Amino acid sequence: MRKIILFTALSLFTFAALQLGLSRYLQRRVADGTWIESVASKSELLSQRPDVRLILLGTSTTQNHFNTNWMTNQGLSSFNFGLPGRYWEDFPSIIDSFRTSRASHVMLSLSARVFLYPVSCPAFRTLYDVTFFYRLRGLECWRKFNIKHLFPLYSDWPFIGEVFRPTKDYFATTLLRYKTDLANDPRLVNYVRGNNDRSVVTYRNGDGAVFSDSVAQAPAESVQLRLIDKRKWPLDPEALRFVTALGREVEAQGKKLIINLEPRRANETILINVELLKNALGPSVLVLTNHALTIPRENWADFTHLKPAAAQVYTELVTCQLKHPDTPPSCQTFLEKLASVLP
Amino acid sequence: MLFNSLEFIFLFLPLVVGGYYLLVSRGLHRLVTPWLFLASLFFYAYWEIRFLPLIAFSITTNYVFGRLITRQGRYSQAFFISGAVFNLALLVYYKYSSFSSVAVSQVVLPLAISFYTFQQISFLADCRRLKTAPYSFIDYGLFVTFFPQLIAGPILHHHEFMPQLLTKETRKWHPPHFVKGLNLFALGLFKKVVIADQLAAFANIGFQNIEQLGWLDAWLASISYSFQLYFDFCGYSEMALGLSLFFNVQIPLNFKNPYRARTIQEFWAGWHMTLTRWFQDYLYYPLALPLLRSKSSRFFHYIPHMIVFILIGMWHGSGWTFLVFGGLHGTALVLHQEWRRQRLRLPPLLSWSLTFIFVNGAWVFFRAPDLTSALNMLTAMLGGKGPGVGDALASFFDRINFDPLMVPASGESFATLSSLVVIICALVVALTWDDGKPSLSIFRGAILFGLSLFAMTITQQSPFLYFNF
Repeated sequence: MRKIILFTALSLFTFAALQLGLSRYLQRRVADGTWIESVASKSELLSQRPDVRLILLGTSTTQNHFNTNWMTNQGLSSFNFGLPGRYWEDFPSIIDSFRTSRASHVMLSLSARVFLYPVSCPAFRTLYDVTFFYRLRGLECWRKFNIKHLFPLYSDWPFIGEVFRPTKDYFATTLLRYKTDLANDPRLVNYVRGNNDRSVVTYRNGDGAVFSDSVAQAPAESVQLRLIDKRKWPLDPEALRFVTALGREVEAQGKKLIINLEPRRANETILINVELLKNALGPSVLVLTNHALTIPRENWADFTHLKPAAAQVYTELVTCQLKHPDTPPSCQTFLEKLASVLP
Repeated sequence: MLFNSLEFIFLFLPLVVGGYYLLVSRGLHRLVTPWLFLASLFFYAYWEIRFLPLIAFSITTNYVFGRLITRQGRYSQAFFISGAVFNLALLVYYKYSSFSSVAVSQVVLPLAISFYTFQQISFLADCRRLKTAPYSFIDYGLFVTFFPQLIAGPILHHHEFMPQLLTKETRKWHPPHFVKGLNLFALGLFKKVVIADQLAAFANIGFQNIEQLGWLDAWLASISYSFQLYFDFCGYSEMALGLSLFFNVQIPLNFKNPYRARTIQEFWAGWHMTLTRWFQDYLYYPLALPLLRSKSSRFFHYIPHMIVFILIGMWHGSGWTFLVFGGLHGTALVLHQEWRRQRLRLPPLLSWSLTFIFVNGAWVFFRAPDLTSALNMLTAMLGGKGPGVGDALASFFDRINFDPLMVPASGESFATLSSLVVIICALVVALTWDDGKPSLSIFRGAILFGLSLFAMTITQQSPFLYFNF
């Protein structure tokens, strides 16, 4: 019996020591100015930015569409919490990780499409997500609970190789012509991933960018813009309940919520009844309606991400909208710029 | 449910083991077998509930056949043949239908069907030979579904499991067994989640991009797969051994250091031993003994070898690649027999290298999606594709520096220092750690277990490779 107790204690000690070591490794790595695309890593990065007023929360589109250095230089101190491979179902625990941040606003960038369909159970669940969804939908998502989420570090850690991968990877051929631009970018390259057709660059401040010509080179018929008009459709009540619950979580932290309806895809635009969304969220929530922007195919890197030049203009547009929420025409020049083919 | 899932380790296993010893301590021995049987069915259904009726049907039918055969009536032989045909028909339908027509290739392979079918055929054969004792349906059900060995073996004989199940000694608390079980489980878990799953990354990239592979990448991919398969399956088998010991049941070893083998015969004496034992007992001897007695030419003596190895290949899957895999091993074994007859000997290092290179090459057919891909991989390994040996090595040494501005010569090469280090570690473990050795120190076992738990929380869970067979 003594041996069994010894075995249990020793293995738990080993496990805890490794968890602690990894956690420290992550902190040191972020302190050195590098991070990986995970909630834990970005949370650590955010905790080093006490000046941040605005947190941009979203998926890969958020990570790759905003230049938060530029926004900060314009007096809007921002942090990019976009995470590739995430859906808005994963946001509850991410919002919970903002508790210690002194930011005053959280901007949620979403496709308008999400408001037309019920919310799924989150793919990357923490115990917080499970309780959040339990309050909202009962036991439905409890079934997918994984005991892994009881462990101290989030289960969103990528493959172990990713964690220990050298931060400076190689530049694929798609990036060769941008080598000088990247070397001169004040955001500094964190690492590059992808292949010869598409490269994703992450910057040390939490931003990202997609370099690709796949949409420009795709057959014209596959990129033909399809307008899906759902303005006469009711919004999904479950999706509305979910977004209002997210709003309550943000408010509970003393922050204000902003919803940014983002451009959907190079070949698809969805229109929804925005008034229904505004009514559900109430007057305190600012809703930016960028989902119906006209963006030519040449400005898209792939079907869902803008090229860096277009992303810069989009950043300027959103910054303008945030600074002048009551006078949208003042941002007209950015809209026009985005509608033209950018170099 | 997977052995390498936290649900299994922290919920299912403590509940089942706790329940088992609670029943034992209360003297409720009659409930012990039903408890394990129910737990095993839950374990099976947790993965895919729709196959539960199939395994239940298979168990019930075989149980009935077994009872009919043991009566030794006039139709005993007929019942045995019917039972064997029933089992093989199920296996052929679910596993080999894709060979015959496209329409039925949509049939989904039920989990563990190859394992439990073989186990039940051997049971019927043992009934026919009067080697079985009286047993109840629940006892028989547990023999087939005992969760430590249900999904991927070891393939048990009725006579090595049932007596242990029925003896009172099994239903006692034996701390030394439990500690051995913990150590073996820890060792197997480590082999699976720390070694095999890391090698999987290189093997998968390689076999998914065979067309782009150069010489070095091809070798790294194939060797990664050879070690991945070994550590994955050997790890599973050791976990099964350890889990069984929690219930004081000893099941046979499935691996005994196959990669230390210096001949192909030695390799098969240490690789998936319970499968080769099954083929030896129920196919090879019945085929070979009459031929040996008949004093026919030596050529005829080798026919059973070839049949057995082709069927071993086919047991793993219905593709032509498995057929070639079996054929290659059968041929190698025949050549080895002839070599031995000539009393020729090779230096140990050379014979080990030749055996390993052959086994590694044959695994290419085992892993590749089709024959063309397998041949392409072998061509790349022989330097017939992509950058030559010198260029590949130069590129490899370039990548060691991880130059941030480096552009790889062709695609994304994974021939880096890290992949080489992982493979060398795997080789060292394969050659120096004894398979299934329960005398691991408690410290080493606990550290391996802690390491494995850690790896499990930061990596994606992956099923065992032999779940596909």
